[in-house]
Amino acid sequence: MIKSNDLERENALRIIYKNNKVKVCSFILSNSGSEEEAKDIFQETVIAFYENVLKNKFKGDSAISTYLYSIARFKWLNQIKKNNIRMVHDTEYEQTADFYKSPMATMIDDEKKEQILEVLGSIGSQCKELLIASIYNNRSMKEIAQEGDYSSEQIVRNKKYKCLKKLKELIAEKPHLIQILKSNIY
Amino acid sequence: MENSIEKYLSGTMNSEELKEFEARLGSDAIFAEEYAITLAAHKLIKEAGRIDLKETLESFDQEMQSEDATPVIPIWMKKALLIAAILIVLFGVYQFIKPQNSFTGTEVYNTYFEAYSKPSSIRDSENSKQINWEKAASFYSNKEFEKAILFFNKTAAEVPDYLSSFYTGISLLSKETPNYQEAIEHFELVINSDNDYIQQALWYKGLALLKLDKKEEAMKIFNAIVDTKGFNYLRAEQIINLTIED
Repeated sequence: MIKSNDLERENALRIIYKNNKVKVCSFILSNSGSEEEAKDIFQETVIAFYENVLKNKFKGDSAISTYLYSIARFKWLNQIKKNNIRMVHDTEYEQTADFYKSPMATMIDDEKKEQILEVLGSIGSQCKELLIASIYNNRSMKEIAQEGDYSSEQIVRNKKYKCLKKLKELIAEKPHLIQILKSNIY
Repeated sequence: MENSIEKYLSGTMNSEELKEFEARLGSDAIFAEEYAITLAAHKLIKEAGRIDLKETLESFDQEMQSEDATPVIPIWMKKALLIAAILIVLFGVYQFIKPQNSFTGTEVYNTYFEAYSKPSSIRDSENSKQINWEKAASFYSNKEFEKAILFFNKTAAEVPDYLSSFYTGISLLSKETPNYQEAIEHFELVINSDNDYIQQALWYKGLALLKLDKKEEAMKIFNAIVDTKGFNYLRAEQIINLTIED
C-alpha cells in the first residue's frame, strides 16, 4: 500500500503512525527523552521506514512495529551520542537545553529548509509535486500520468525534464545552497 | 549528458557504463559540474519530499489529539474508566519492566565510553628521564593500547602510581579485547589513594561495571558522581535516567 497511489500511501502511513506512536514515544520518554524529542524521533523513524520500503530494504521479514521500534532505538542512541559530543566538561546545568535540540532540526536546519522552500516556490507547485512524486516517492511516469492531470507518459517525461532544468538553473545561481546540500547526509 | 547523469543517480547503470561514467567525471570539468548540480537538485527534492512527509505526519498527530479530546462522561462510566485506568497502569508497569523496552548495559557502555585524553609529559627536575612513560603515552595516543599497557607497567620509578594505574585502566578498556574486571581493579587503586584522578576513575569504574551488568553497583557510583557534581556528572545523570536491563 505504501508504494501505491498518494491516497493509499497516506492511509497506510496514517495507520502505521497511529498504531505505533505511543509505543515508540513511551520508550524514548522512559529513556530520558522529552516529549518533543520523542515526537521528532518517531517522525524521523516513520520517514526512514518509508524510504526503506521504497528502496526495498524492508522486506516484511519482521513486523512493522518491531522494525519501527528498532529504528527508533538506534536513532535515540545516536541522538544521545550526538548530545554527548556537544557536551563540554563543566558545563553549567542550565545549559543542558541548548544541546537537546530537536533531532529533526539537526537534519533539516532552519536555514536549509528556508532556502529549499524558496527554490521550490520559484519552480511552482506543479513542478514541485511532479519532481517529489518522481524523485522522492519513486513513482513511475505512467503512475504520475494516471494520477495527475497529464494525458500521456511522454508529457510527464517532458514536463519533468523542463522542471528539473529550471530547478538546476536556480540551484546553479546559489553556490551556497549546493554546499549546504553537499553536507546533507542521506 | 543529462540522461547518463540521471541513469547514474537512479543506480541503473551496468558496470561498464559505471566505469565510463566515473572516468568522465574525473576528466571532464563541465560534465563534473553538471553532475554536481544535478545531484544537488535530487538532494533538494528528497529534502522537500521529507519536509512534505513530515507535514503529513504532523497532521496525523493533530488528528490523534482531536480524537483524544475528552467528551462529557456519565458517572457510571467513570467507575468503569477507573478500573480501565488501573489496568492501563498495570500494563504500563509491565511495559516499563519488560526487557524489550530498555537498553542493555553494553549498549549504554558503548554509547558513553570514550578513552580519556592522552597522558601528558610530567616535568620533574630530579627525574627528568621518563622514557617508559613517554613511550606508553605515545602508544596510547596511537591507540596501540596493548603496547601502552606494557610500558605503563614499567613507570613505577617515573610517575606516581595512581597515574599509571589510571591509564592502564583506560587502556584495558580500550584495547581490542578489553578486560573490564582488571580495569576496575586499577581504577580502585586510583580511588583509594589521594590524587586528582579519583573522579575520572569513578566514572570509568561505573561504566565498566555497567558493561559487566553490575547495574546496582554502577548506579551507586553514578549517583555519587551526580551528588558531588564530579567528572561527567551530566552524563552520569543521563545514565541514571535511562531504563537499563537488570
